[in-house]
Amino acid sequence: MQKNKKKSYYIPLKINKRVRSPFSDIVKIKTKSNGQGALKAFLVFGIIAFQTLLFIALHSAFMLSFKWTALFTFVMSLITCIYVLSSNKNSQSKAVWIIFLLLFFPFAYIFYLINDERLIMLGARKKYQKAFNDSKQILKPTCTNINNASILNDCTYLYNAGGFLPYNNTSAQYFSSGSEFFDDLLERLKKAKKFIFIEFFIVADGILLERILDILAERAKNGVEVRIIYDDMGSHRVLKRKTKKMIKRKGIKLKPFNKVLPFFSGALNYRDHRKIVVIDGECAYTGGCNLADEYINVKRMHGYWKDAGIRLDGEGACSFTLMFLRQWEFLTHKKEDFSAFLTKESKVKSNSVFVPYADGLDYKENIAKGVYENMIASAKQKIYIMTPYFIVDDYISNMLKSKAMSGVDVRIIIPELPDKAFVYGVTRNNAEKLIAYGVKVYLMKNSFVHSKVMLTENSVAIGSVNMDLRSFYQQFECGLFTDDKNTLEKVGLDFESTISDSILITEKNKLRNHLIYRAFAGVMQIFAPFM
Amino acid sequence: MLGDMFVNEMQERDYKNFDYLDIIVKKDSIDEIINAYTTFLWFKIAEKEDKRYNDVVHLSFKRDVNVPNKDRLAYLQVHYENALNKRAEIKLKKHSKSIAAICNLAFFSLAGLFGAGVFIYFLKNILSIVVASVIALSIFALDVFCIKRIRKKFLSENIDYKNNVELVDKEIKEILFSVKNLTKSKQVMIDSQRGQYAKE
Repeated sequence: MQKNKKKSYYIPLKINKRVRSPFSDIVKIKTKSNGQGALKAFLVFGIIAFQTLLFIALHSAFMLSFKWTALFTFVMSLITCIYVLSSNKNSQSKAVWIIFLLLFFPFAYIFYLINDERLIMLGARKKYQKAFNDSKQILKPTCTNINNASILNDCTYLYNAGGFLPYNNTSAQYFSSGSEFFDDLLERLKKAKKFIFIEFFIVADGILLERILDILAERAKNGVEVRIIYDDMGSHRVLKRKTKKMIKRKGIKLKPFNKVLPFFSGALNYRDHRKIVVIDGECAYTGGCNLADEYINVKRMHGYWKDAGIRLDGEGACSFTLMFLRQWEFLTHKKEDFSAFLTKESKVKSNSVFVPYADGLDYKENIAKGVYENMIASAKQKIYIMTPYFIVDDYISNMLKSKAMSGVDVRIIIPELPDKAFVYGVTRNNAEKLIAYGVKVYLMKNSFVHSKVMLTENSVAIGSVNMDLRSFYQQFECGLFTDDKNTLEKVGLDFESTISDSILITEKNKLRNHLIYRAFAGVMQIFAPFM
Repeated sequence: MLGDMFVNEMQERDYKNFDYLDIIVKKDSIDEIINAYTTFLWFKIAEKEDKRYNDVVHLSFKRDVNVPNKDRLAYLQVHYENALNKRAEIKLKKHSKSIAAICNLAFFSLAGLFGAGVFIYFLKNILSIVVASVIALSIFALDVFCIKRIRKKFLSENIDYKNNVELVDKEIKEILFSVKNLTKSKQVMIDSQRGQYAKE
């Protein structure tokens, strides 16, 4: 007789169901998500939003308890409106603030006064002024002869507006991509002997930072002074605390600009958008690139990342050294002898004119905007612009329209792929409005254009300055203005190559043909001064 | 085994000398993609099944950090990937309009018939039956008319699909041709790189 075998049953502890993927894409690039950074940003801004709402609630409760305060707040709002009208803000900002003040008169005037740079930045301006006054005469002009009248006008403007001197005996190398820029920078950093100064809006954890830190750590070990300034708003999501500690442990000095704290403050809006690297006072880099992987297309964010940068060798690098040192003094509150960092003689011989310039709350004039305006005004043959955002005021817009209608070849290249949908909506709207006047607007296919370049037949400006109101009025920026033929040629080739990779927006294919888009863009225009 | 290799590869990455690329691809396109990425000078270093989805795999590639024309290759690679995904999107939306039209037609027809039925049920007289019949006949006639038009649309969608896929395939071929032109002048370097990777 066969014994009945006991059947054994296997019950899996975990049911492993594998299903079809929900996405239709054949290929997807894997990108590391930064959950920690996103959570930190959410918490900080959540707390600020909570404080704002709490303030509004308390203020409203106070007003309801003491009815006479309603009249007081209305009168204060009217006085603030007059104050806004008398300010140096652009007309668009004034209009938006006045609407805000009148619509929300119970508390809007308090928000305005908290945000007004003339009040909140008073202390900061004094500190900057001190650093400026102490180092005013430290740089000597070396450019003796400027033949071109329009270049002379631009140089005169930069000198009168910000004390920026023109330089000869400088050579420049233009980079039409972030990869080229950082490849060159990495090689040059290895040769640093005295000091390395780095200032970026975004310093992010990743492969690029790892590569640069290896070199910086090695240089710091060999006695090179290494200093890094990063903007805290730009970097707080992407630069971990343990990386910051590691950087400091390697002997590198690290300073955040305008730390993001979980308290409501109008000063939060003022950011250091500069991108400067100075090596030994002999060589300086600037442009649109930040220190993050997406700028060298190692990390995929918005299609292909198009950027631009420039390297200066020679006398012109001194200006960038001084810009960095002033900012460092402002952040550390420590006075030091700047002349120790400035190179006396340049080995480069050249007659081209180079004027490094900066902008920010440390200057009274809106210098970056002024540079663009002067270049547009003096252009007679062409104005080529590459910018990620096109949120300009009526003045620049009208100038471009007039130039296009006068036969000047005006071309604007903006991205096809946006990084911020609302900002892109306004950018497209503003750019497309110019098409009817003869301005050619291009979208670089499958790309996010991050370059900030303006080219005319005589000069080029390359730097960190977007064509938007934030860069013109609120952020610390830097750039280079030059008439160097070699640079003009290379930038021209970059524009030609980019235009061949771009789609021309015509009257038929523009987004403004859709009523819903026009309505949306019209509403978003209200927030343009804050974009 | 593959999973172990994948984990080891992740841990041993030399970011100083190489760039790395991690992608998720549909299984039925693996060979096409590996061949294409090899044209872009990427070399496959790992392959792993997805834990959740049965129709995709994870691939890892690496490439020398100093590869020539890296920027242009990156730009063309983005175009290539977009064209590939566009082809998938075209396939997915091949008959989307006609299917949507059929669904709408079916819904409104059924709703109309249901309404007619309710009308008869509540009134229960000859007039209501006549009216309901007229409604049903109208719906039937409308359906016949719409189905003819939807059939036309369906056939034209087939033609459009074929044309669009041809255009995308042409675009992909052009991109790969541009890439081959870009990299062919450094054939010796590529071969030596391949030899180097093969040894690894």
